[in-house]
Amino acid sequence: MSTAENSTPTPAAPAATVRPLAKKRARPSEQAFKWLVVILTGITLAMLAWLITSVVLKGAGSLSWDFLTGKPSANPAKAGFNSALRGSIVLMIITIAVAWPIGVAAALYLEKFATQSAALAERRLATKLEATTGGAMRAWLHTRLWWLRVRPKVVHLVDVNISNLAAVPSIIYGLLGLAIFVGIMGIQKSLLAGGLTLAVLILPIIIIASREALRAVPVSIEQGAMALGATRWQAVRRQVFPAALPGILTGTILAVSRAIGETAPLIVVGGIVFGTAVPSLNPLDAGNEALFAMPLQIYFWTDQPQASFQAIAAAGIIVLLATLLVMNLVAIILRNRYSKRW
Amino acid sequence: MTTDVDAETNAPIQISVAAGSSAQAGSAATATPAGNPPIFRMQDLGVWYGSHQAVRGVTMDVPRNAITALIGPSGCGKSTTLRCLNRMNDLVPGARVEGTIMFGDENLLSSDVDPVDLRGRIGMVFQKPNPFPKSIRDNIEFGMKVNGIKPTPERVEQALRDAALWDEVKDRLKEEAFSLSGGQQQRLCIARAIAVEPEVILMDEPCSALDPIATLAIEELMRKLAERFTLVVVTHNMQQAARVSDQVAFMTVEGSDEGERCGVLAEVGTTRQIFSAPSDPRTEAYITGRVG
Amino acid sequence: MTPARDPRGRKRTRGSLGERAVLLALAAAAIISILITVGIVVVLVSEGATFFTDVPIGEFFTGTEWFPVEGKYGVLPLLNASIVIALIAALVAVPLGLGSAIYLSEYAPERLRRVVKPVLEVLAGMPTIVLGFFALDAVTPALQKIIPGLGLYNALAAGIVVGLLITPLISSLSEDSMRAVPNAMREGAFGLGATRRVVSLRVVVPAALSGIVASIVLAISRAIGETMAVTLAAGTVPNLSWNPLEGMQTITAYIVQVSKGEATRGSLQYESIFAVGLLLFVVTLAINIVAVRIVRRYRTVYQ
Repeated sequence: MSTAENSTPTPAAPAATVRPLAKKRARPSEQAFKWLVVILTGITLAMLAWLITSVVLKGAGSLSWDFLTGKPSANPAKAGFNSALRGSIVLMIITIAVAWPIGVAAALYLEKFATQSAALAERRLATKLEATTGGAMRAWLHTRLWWLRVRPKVVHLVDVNISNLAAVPSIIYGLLGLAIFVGIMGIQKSLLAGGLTLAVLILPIIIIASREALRAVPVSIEQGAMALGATRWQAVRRQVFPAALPGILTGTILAVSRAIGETAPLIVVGGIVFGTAVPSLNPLDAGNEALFAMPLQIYFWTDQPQASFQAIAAAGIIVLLATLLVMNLVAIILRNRYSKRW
Repeated sequence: MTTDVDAETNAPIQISVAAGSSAQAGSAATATPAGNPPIFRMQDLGVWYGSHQAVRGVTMDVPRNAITALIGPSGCGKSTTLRCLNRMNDLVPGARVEGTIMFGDENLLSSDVDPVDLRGRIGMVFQKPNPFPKSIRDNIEFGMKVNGIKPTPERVEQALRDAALWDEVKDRLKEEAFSLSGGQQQRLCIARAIAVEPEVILMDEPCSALDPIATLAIEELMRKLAERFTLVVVTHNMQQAARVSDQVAFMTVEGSDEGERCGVLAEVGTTRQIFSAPSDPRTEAYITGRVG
Repeated sequence: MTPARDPRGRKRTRGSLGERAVLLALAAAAIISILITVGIVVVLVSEGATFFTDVPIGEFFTGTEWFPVEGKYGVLPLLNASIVIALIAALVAVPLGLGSAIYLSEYAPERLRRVVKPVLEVLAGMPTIVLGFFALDAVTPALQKIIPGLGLYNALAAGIVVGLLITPLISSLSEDSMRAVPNAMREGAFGLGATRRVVSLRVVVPAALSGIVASIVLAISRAIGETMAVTLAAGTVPNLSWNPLEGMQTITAYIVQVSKGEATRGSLQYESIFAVGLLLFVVTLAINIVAVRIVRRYRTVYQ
């Protein structure tokens, strides 16, 4: 060090006098507050642990192969979960088949096309309009011009609307399904009506998740493709969409896992039917008249006064939670495996 | 103290660093506050973040009631060193500080020293103005309450006057601090620090987010504050160091044994000496603009 | 657009018409979301309107008895039950959620946070039927040991499990907004000699207040719309009471009760579920709008 040459005081110089430093002291309120937040977090985690252990302790004894493959029965010792499992699988298939294409399409439009600048297209249309004389053609061009102008407002409306829809209580979707699918469209209180209702329920969630996944893909990828002469649609379909697909699938799985656990809308649409039928796995099978699903079966059992039904309800919950766990794990793996850092 | 003269005579030195006469520097040195008794004595200070050593072997004194500037290229550990003085590094997970910093007669790095109490005595002003999202008055009163000082209107006014902000805000004490301009916010942060009646004020590049006019106001304020407080200022602006400081410590980056880059203290001396006759070739290269 | 100005003067033929069709299809998909909202409103309002031709609106809103078999349709007992249970839930969830949020954002080491946060979110994804089972099978029996004479169906157990359900909603959103408070602000307070508790409570929480309040409001809206846990735990007897130890029927539980049975389409009972559904929809929508307003109005934008 260069202390020798510089003119700061030599080490022998007396230090400035300052008050002595305070020793570390206990601050009871500090400690108390820290413990408070630790305990509050702990209580929440403990409640979750209590929930899971109480269900597992109660239901594990009733879990068996027979339980998974057995038909519903009025005798708790013989009652099986097979119809509920099959019902949930069919519901899942219908829900995905309906909600996924619509949700992803809506997300693509909102994220990639609706916000695109309209100025150029508007000018082009205006020029065309001047050159056109045909009445029908003019009307069509007028319509398109009008759409370009109102599009931003519509998009904003859709935006607000989707976030509001995501917060609507699920039982309201049940009422919608009851009135539209069962009432007006005359679909029986069946798996089809239930699946369509669940599809409507998770559509906003799929749109929101897909938009996020699309947004995470850098614009440069799309611009790169367009610079090579691709149209916007080609760029989106060939470059952006594949890049966003893992994120979209992750969001879809999480949305479907929400649908699997929904009970209230299914009860509203289909009621609680006690039957011993076993639904076919074919989603379009007309024989699937009664609405079976895991949460419905669990509700039915829980609602029975006999204690032995509580045990099989718990067993059903274990199966339901295991299904959700697997779906969530798949979603997490998908996300970690394919997530790219741009 | 000859603060005004200092500021003026330092300015031309900036332009002709190489021409500065060492005799002149030597005679001026004894007349500056750089000769005050030291309030901090750093001995072999080193800072680790996890397994990476950010700073090593810093040994220097900080004189009382003077402005000490820490200068050097970015990444040389100026801010890290500054943050040792009020133990802000304690808050960084994985940070470890070695060596000693004597504050008066005690090592403030000692584990039995209360860092919370220490920070009440050694104030800090940050790179970007960081007022709390509260009213101007609440910003001043916050530190007072925390340190057990009764927040009277007189004390609030005095702190704002000391920070040369009173005239601009006296009619709007209830307004949000965010409504102030950047320079005003920074002076509010200084007022907030003064209100606690600290002994030392640490400033981490206090003007880097400000325009030249706001910078000038802060610099004038710093000179005034040096009459009552000890200031340690990190700056990347050499003109600023030359204008306001009494003592300058120049830090630089060296490759360590493992090839990692680590901040070291190259040289410390009076401002005049560092800017006119630096003894370390790296200092000279930096202040004449050949590096950094 | 670039392709339209092809340098070689080639007309843009590739999929031009097809592309327009695709775009139209995509736009149609986006419009469907609006149709859903329109559908909900139309269904609830039209069926509800039929209901209100038979039951005067005044009677609906002021009646203190909900006894459909006798034609008594005063919604206050149902609405009251929904509010009581949502309040109990908030009483449980606000301390738990805020405590967890403060712990995770200000105290927990990063590694622990990364484990605890997803675990808490498991609760948010828990099917409500499971929480209903938990209330009936574990919480109520436990409460009965503390409070002798507590019935099998009571608002307290329902409120507690609904509180558990919305706790992660509060903790997650609040923690997000607390972490959005710039570190510079914490450092400023620490630099003045503030302790961690003071920094958390007097700097971070006030700075994140809009997000915290919005999270609580959204959580309450979720609690009001919650169905299965309250249906199972609070029972199916309408009861205009503020006593959390009594059983009571919420709006949602009533809808479930009617749906379970065979209410014929077009009957007054069938229509009544749409009427109360409309009320539920309006209440939750209003609460959500309030939450959005709070965030917009009081949000502090940090550089």
